[in-house]
Amino acid sequence: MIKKIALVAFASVILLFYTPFLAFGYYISEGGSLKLPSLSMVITTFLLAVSTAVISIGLAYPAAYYLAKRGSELEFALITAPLWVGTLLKAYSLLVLFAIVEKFSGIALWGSPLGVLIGMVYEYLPYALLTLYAAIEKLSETPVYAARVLGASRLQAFFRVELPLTMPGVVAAFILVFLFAMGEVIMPAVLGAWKVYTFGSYIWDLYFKARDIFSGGVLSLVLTALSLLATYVVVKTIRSFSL
Amino acid sequence: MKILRIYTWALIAMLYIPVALIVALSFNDSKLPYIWGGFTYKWYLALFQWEQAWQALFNSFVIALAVSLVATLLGVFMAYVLRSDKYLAISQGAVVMPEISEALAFAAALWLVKTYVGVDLFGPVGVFLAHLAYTLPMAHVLLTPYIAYVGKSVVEASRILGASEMKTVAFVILPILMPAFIATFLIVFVNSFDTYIKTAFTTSPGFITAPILLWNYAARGRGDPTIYALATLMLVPSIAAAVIYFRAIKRYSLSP
Repeated sequence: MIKKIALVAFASVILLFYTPFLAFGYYISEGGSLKLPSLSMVITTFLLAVSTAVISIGLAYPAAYYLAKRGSELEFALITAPLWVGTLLKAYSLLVLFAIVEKFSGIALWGSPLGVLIGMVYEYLPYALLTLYAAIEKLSETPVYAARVLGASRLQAFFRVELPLTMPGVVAAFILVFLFAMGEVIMPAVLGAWKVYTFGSYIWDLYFKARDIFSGGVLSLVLTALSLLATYVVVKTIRSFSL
Repeated sequence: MKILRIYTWALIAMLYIPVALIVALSFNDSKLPYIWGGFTYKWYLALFQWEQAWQALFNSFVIALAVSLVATLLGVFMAYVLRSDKYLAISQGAVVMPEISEALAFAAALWLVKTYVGVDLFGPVGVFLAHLAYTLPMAHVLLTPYIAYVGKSVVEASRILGASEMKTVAFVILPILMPAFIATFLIVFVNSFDTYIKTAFTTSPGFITAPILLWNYAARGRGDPTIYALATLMLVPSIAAAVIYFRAIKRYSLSP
């Protein structure tokens, strides 16, 4: 009984991810034309996703390091709590913050790529932090002591021993944030004021404005494939550097 | 370490400033966000009289409750039945799929059903199914590590003593898993309550949830104190869930 329920639920979840393929088959048989996004849009999306991943990892690493070594429970709870707040709420609150910043300093963040980048880093930082924390926490102290005893300074011990050892965590954080950021719609829409146009916004418009669900479905598959391919390439590059 | 500590606290402050700002502004007597006009409740009163907002909050709440109940229960079943690693890889893959392609897959599925079967599921049912489809792998992944806590011998003992499989899950496995169950329930609840994209793709114009209402203002870049009040109310489940979650997890780690 339980087995049957679980298997049916599991099968429907798996099946669901193949629906775009169904749509794809239908699409080909109907002879519809695919509305491809422009190259600049793909590049914008890619650059945004890469910089989001790099900046969030850069910002999160020192904090994750501190939390894993000396952090208290309260600090850990405080830094992960923003994960519970929805993306749209975060986007909206940043929108209001940007309005205030613009009023007082004259810097217009709303509608600029920088604003979108800030929004995406704001959203994905806790994800990067948790992943890095898990990697750093597992690190044993022995290699660092060994390096220190052998005459390395504290900084040297960190850069030559600890950082390479936590590289798998960095790679995992990169994959996670990058994959999420490639499909991002809310931040570019709310903070980019539809001026910063990404692949996600394009699919969005295909569905909601052009009502072209099949182009949208096919392109969402392309997006998934592109993100996975890019992840593979980037991870390979990072790995080759660290070795 | 001291510098790192200061840095960490600065980062925490940065994470909280925008959200705290919205809460503060919902009590601001001035309509402009950069002028403080004194403390007031009037935006909440305005929200109270705005029927659509209450309907939207209520809809979100009901959907989130239903989704989290079903997803957590099915998640326990799935974690119990599909314990081996090879299934985990597949469902974990489903969790990391980019947001938009998942939601669109669902919209495409609903569309195919509408065209070929003639049943229009767009609306509450579609939203429920879409949220369920995306939270189920999440619940599965979250619960799987904890299933290992339930020893095989306990399950076998219960079966030998004559309990059915259903009874074993309900009276043996569930009580042992309670903290993990609550934690998963909360994660699913908040996720479903806050999700905009999945809802937008599967809802009908007549069915409005709180994130949809918020989006109507946010996507046009409009600030409105009544919406700040709505956003503040939408924060309540998140904060409550975060507090309960950390308590449940803490108790769990003390007595495994």
